Amino acid sequence: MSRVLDVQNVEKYYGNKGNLTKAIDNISFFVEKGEFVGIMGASGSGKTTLLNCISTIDRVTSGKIWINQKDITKLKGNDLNRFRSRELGFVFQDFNLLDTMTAYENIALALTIQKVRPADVDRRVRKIAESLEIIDVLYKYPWQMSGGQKQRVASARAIVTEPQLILADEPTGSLDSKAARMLLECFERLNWSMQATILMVTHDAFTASYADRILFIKDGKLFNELIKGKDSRKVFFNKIIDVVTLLGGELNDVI
Amino acid sequence: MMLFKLSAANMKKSMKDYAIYFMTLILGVALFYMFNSLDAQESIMVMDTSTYDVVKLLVEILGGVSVFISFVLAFLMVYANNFLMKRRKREFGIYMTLGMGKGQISRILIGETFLVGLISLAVGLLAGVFGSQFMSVLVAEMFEADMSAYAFVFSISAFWKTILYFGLTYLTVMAINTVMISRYPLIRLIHGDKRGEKVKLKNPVVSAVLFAAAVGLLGFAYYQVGREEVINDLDQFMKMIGIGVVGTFLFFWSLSGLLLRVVRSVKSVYLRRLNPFVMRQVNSQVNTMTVSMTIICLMLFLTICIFSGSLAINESNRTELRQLVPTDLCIEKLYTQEAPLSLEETMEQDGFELSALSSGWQEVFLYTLSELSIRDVLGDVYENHASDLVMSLAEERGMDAMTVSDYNILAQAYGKETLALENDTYQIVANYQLMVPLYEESMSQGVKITLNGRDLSPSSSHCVNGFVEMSSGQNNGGVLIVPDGVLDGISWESGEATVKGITAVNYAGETGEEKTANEAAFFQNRVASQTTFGRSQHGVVTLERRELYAASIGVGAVVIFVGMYLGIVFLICSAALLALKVLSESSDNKARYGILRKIGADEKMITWALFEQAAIYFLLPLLLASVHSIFGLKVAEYFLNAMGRGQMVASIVMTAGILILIYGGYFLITFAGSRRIIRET
Repeated sequence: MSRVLDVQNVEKYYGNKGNLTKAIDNISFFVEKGEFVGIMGASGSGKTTLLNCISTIDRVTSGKIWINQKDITKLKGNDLNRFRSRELGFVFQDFNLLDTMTAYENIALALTIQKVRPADVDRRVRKIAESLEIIDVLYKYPWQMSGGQKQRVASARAIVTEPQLILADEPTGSLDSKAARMLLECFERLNWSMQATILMVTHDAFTASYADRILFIKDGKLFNELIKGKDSRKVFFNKIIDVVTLLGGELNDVI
Repeated sequence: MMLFKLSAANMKKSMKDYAIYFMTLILGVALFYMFNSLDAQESIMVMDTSTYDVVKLLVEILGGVSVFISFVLAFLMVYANNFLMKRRKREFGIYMTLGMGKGQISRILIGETFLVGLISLAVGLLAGVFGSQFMSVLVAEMFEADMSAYAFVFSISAFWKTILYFGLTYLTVMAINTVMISRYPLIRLIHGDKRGEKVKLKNPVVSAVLFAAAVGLLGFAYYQVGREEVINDLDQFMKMIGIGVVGTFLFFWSLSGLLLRVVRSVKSVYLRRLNPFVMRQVNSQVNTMTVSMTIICLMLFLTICIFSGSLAINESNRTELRQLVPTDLCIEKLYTQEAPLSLEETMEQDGFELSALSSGWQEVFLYTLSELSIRDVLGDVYENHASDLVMSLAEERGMDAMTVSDYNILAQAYGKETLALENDTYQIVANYQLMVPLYEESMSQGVKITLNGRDLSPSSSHCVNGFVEMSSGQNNGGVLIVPDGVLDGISWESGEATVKGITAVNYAGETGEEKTANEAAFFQNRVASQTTFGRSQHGVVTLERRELYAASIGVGAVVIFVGMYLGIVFLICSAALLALKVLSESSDNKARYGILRKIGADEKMITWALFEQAAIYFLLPLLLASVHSIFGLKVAEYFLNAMGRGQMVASIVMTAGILILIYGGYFLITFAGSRRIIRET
């Protein structure tokens, strides 16, 4: 198995000499192709900073991040933009759909930005819409859709470009439990059928239980790692709860 | 005081985004001052009185136009404030939740308008004072005034007038703003920036039908204004303009939806880069600005027509003058019982020496015959056109006549082709547009005339385009050119004709300076000597180039100044409206561009998308206005032709130049501004 993501000794500091905050304090891990990895941690633990660094939105203070054998900490300017659009797919908590455009257009835009041939765009949009069960909302505007539908459209947009790595930041954060379950089942299916590699940040144990492997972060450091293995999701969920209890802090409140 | 501080801070904050709006206001104030201060220019004071009258007329007209201009600028301000308010609803909402009353918010707004007004007025006046110095050079150039008396001028009357007009305008805007803010409920203010905007797609069938209707209406109006009977009937003409306005509105109303649908059906265009995004943006924006697009389009249309029209009038004036006034001086001597002396003798009486003025002068004679009227020359043609207005002039007037040798002397002096006439034939020299076709009709019918006992037939079927007396317009109603000897024996003493001697000369001198010196000397002597030229009984009249030029260019200048004033104000107002629209849209759309960046669009694509949008907003009204103008200018050309003034091409090119410079400048500034807004995060 090839490593899609390889994070080595990454540190991210904020502030200055007198008042230094280590948002990420020497974290190393890797994700292999086809893995569904969750990152859990309380707010302020550094999980979003880590995701921002991996997604090239933020820069690391030290350390290396390889995505598909490419050191992204060295990329700059337009190379970075190009890299981001080709190799990464994003799913955001607040969907980030363009409200002036239909679902179809929102998904298609990810392809047109990559200069995919117009003839292929239509075919690929329909294919992904089918697998995410959003065919019937394709010609609706975001304000005409439910939260779950919006998030699936956003996921379709992230996946349609067939990125090396899909980064999801609290994807179920603004969904009700039913919609959340549907979305996560979609992720699971994508992960299985299309060998999509997914890195998902969440603080919700239920959401995390859909992943194959979970990294726990506390105060900028890797705290624990849980692997689902042959466990059922229910067993895995209980294990997660145990770690969360151990972690203490805010995470207890959300369960 | 607190509130005023808030106003000032707000101003500072939005100054950057709306620099172009302030700029337009400043430009408006500056133009207002410049055009209203024309009469105070020292350099104009030393022009001769006839030109000064023209300037006075000009100032009067500009004064009237200025009232209209301040209305246009007030409209711009209200419109701009509407934009600014929309963006700041949330800010006002926060003030209100903090316990500020609507009265206080109104006071903040009043403070802001006051500051905007004060600053734009101050800066605009300053710019105007300096700009008017440049104007006075331009004016002096056009009116051929003496620049030696040039000095820095400040027009107090224009200064107060500007303050009064703009003060009133700003007060009106303040009042409108206050009314507007008091009508917003608090909840709408607080949620002002959360625009759960619903994209309304118009019914495609309705759009298509209305678009077809718009094109049909415009086509109909275009066709109708091309017809003479419509042009000459004011009621009909205004109706067509009304139809054109309605057509323009429907065009923009139906265009956006239709455009989106058309582009969407062409997948290879639609699914390319950020095109789907751009098309959606344009669609939703054009939907909301149908009225302003219509107004902008019509203003641009007016600008193009006013510019081209006034430039064409001025330009044709100048070229025409060059042809109609080919020599420096034309001295005419009417021979009568009271003034029987020859030109030379008359002038010598008063100490003028003709040969000193110009060597090789030669007097020729123009006879106004009593035995032959214009009616006789026209023959049957007269009967056919008896109802024409021009015929009432022709009926009784005697025909002017000159021998071919005399005419050739003049033709040489004027730099025109000489004529050769066979025995017993005649030719007609004319350039008055209403008479020429009548003569040609009669000549092609071979109308014979009898003069001094000799029968003459036309030498050809065409008139010679020309004149024997210099003038500032094409108003030679026809001079009969006859073979030498035909006029022998006709004399003024016997009353068979009135006889006018014509002497066309250039001032002596090799260089331009010598000529100018001679001209000045002659001019001063003429004014000083009240004898020869002052008393009509001597029958001497001079037609001088400088006088003819001054009289004619004066009229052209009035036209061109009013045209420039209106045209530039219309142009900057339309461009400013568009600029505001694009800029406010950019700041509304910051979040959307943020999303585009997140899903991987690079800066180049985003910049291009911004450029496309700005270009579409600026081009749409311009394109339709250009099509309008093609037909509008045809109408203008028709009127100009009736005045004997053709060439529109040069002035259209110049108009395009000015348009590209100002409108293009606004476009570039707008584009740069919106890029800056999108880049800052």
